[in-house]
Amino acid sequence: MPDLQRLIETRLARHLRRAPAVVAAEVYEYLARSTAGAAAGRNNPERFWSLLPRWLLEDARFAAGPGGAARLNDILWAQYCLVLFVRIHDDLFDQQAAPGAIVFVADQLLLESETTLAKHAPDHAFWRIFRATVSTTLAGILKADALQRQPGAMNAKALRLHAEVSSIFKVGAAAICVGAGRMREFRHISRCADELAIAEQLLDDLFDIEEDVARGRYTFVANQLCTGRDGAIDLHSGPGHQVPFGDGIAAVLHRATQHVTRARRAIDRVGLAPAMRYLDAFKRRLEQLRPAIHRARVAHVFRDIIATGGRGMVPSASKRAPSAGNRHVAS
Amino acid sequence: VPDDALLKVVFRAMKDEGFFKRLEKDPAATVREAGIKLSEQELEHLREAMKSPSTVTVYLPDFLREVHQKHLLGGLGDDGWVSLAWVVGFKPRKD
Repeated sequence: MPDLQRLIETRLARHLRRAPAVVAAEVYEYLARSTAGAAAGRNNPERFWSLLPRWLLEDARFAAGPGGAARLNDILWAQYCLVLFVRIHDDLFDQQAAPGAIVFVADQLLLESETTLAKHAPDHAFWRIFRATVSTTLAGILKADALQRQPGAMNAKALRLHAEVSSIFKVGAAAICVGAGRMREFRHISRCADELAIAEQLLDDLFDIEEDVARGRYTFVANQLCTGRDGAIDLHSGPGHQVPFGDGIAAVLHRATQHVTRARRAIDRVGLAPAMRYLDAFKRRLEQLRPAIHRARVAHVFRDIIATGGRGMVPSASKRAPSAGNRHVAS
Repeated sequence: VPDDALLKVVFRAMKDEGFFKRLEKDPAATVREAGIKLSEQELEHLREAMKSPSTVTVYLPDFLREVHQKHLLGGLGDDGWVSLAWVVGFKPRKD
């Protein structure tokens, strides 16, 4: 298996050699401080989008056609170019990146993706999928952003938008499936990727809730935790950004687990064993997270009793002062 | 399992989500049914702590780090860090 990080670094360096040095420096600076760096595999090299093409090409049913390792490398590189193209535009749109030459670099990455894939995927059926996924992603970003600007608008039905936003992640798998004449399998793979995208976005939103709400983005998770059944809380009114502490987190994890289960069911129809194992492991870890969160919640609720070893007076709730060390606050 | 009766309740609540939910509704009856004997003062401490557990607020990034360091790590062994980071693509900062 190719080292994804090395592959991307090498090809990105080669690609940027054509650009003026000052522009290349701008791109490297952007990658160093943005979340796009994570997409390059720096923090988490083995994500589903990069693993799926490898798994498919290792399977005799999908490995039809010439190319071998070079084909896999091209598909991974093309997939990465597409992801980075969208990510740069999204960061510019979100004002998380400063406008500049980087917008042209992003557009060139889109063309680089097309040029690279054209070597291996001349079929019209593939290019229809390619255009549809790029269009779906771009439209999904705009729709999700519009909804997330209104508290409460991003509801369970709208979670589908996360799958749309992640549509481009299917391009690598599409190139392989079209080449192998496996469109029936691609439909299941596509469904699996959609469900997984929703699950992963729920988890990302759980961990990014503070930043999202500070930017005025009411994600589904923020709506669940802040204005859902745990009671309405204005996150801007508290010291730091506080979230209510009821069953909301468990509910989010439960929903994420449901989407992983559906993803597993979809990939089961393809019989792609490594993907099945990946999703099983993902689900197992999610299931381990829930009781851990429960234990932490109980420890928090009974922190005074635990601190005194079960003895001594417990201060009344109204007299409890926020702990400076961990910023936990009892309301 | 700790000797102290109140800590026994805490220990049981950590292991059993249903027990914790029942405590919220009726601490005295729940503890009695579990066969744990509490003094009136201990029961008062318990009631105070369980008054409104759902309205207690936390700073979520700190809370999730706490989950990781104290609860998940303990439950999963040395690869606990890896497990959570792997699931969410996030690594809590080490203080």
